[in-house]
Amino acid sequence: MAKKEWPLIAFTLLSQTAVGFFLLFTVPLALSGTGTGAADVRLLRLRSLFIVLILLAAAAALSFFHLGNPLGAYRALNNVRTSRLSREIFFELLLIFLIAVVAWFEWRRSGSQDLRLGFYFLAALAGVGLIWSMAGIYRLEAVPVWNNAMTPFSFFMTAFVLGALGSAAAPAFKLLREGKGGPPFAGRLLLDAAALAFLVLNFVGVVLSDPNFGIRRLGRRGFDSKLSRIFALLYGLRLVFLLTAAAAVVLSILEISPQVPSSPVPHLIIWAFAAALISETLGRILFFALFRKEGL
Amino acid sequence: MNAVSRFAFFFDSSSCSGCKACQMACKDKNDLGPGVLWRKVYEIAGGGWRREGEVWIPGVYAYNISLACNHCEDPACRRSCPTKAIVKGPDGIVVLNSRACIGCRYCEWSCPYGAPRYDGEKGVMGKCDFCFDLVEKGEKPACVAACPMRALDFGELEALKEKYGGTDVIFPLPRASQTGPSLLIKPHRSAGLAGKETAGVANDEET
Repeated sequence: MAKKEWPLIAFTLLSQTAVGFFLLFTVPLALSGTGTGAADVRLLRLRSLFIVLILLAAAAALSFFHLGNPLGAYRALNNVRTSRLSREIFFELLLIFLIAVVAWFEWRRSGSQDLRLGFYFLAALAGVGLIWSMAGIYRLEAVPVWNNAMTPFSFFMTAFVLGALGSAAAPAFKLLREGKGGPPFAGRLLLDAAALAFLVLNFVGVVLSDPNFGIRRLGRRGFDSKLSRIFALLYGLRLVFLLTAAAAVVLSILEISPQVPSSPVPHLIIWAFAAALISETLGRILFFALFRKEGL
Repeated sequence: MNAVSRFAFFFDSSSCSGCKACQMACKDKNDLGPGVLWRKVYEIAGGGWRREGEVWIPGVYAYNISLACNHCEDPACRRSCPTKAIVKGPDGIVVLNSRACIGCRYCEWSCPYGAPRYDGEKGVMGKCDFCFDLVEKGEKPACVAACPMRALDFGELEALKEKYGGTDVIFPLPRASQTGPSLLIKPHRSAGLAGKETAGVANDEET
């Protein structure tokens, strides 16, 4: 893997986490925005929108580092009709714009509930479009190792795993810092359960897809044996960290008590997020490192 | 020169000695820096020795493929370029406008032949433009003119087909159906064997 791909690893991981966090945390909050405690929920929505914006802006800023001529980056939207890269940038900018509009509405308390929900819906569509077009970039006929269903699957899984765990971990950070304001029992249980489901699905996907795209066939693809051993080690570590994250989520679920909703402090979910982040980073490193064209 | 609908290269793999004069002529003509090659000569090697009784029979073979941009019918690089820096002319020549390029290197990934190459000093991509300035003057592209074995030729695709025949695929080139390359190759006699056995590019690091 070349040095030029590090910004792409950071860009894809950050963007996907932002979309997952928005879909699994912010959008459900928007749908439950009225009734008792609506002011607290609005504040939570604003904070979550701020987190999504920061993640997307950081991703966009880091993506400049992989360009040889970053000053010309504005031209990247010239070919939306046929270039998947142009489409990805279009969806990234559209998502940033829509999130900023929604955040403005929430902050100013302006716009009707329907209008706000309409923008949330459009932003959710743009988020899905972003990940889909991002995966499409790598569906190249010349690169069989990328041109399969595992590419969109793994990109969406990164979004959902890190999004769900990030959603569960973000309120846990607040609870750790302030000693109050942790997520309500039902919400926490739901997020933990969703995170566990995505972790299991991701694990199964990674294991099942390997014969088609990965480590066991490296020798035949012209990688030398030393490199193959390094890749096999990274692949093994990725699975170990995924299992660690899943185990931490299971323990976290067992700790949740309906009698004492915010206690004990959910350290475990933060550890689960860290383990899943390491696993997804290793997976993305492997994804770029396995680049090999058909033939030459 | 008369209007041509589709320019193409012809390469005779059976005559190529692998001297790389074409590669050097291209570098010289286009003033390319170290490590930047718009035309590459791949050395394909394979085979081995087998024992028959007390006798060892050699079955090793090697041949060369000189490859630049193939100015494809449906260039994957042009489709993928986000800035429309890559255009295809009416004569089939695919040209990269380096002033419009942002150096994202997506064309390098998407081209099955890896023809567009990144120039680290300039921060942009570059590729073979068929030496269209020379061709317009009725001269040959630099690589064709430099070949001492006359293994390279160029011209209108249909005319080349009539003159030489040949194929547009040879081991280890990718399937021609991906992009429809404007390329004709006379295969080396071992090329068929290489496709069936464990053979590979022997000078991978160089190319």
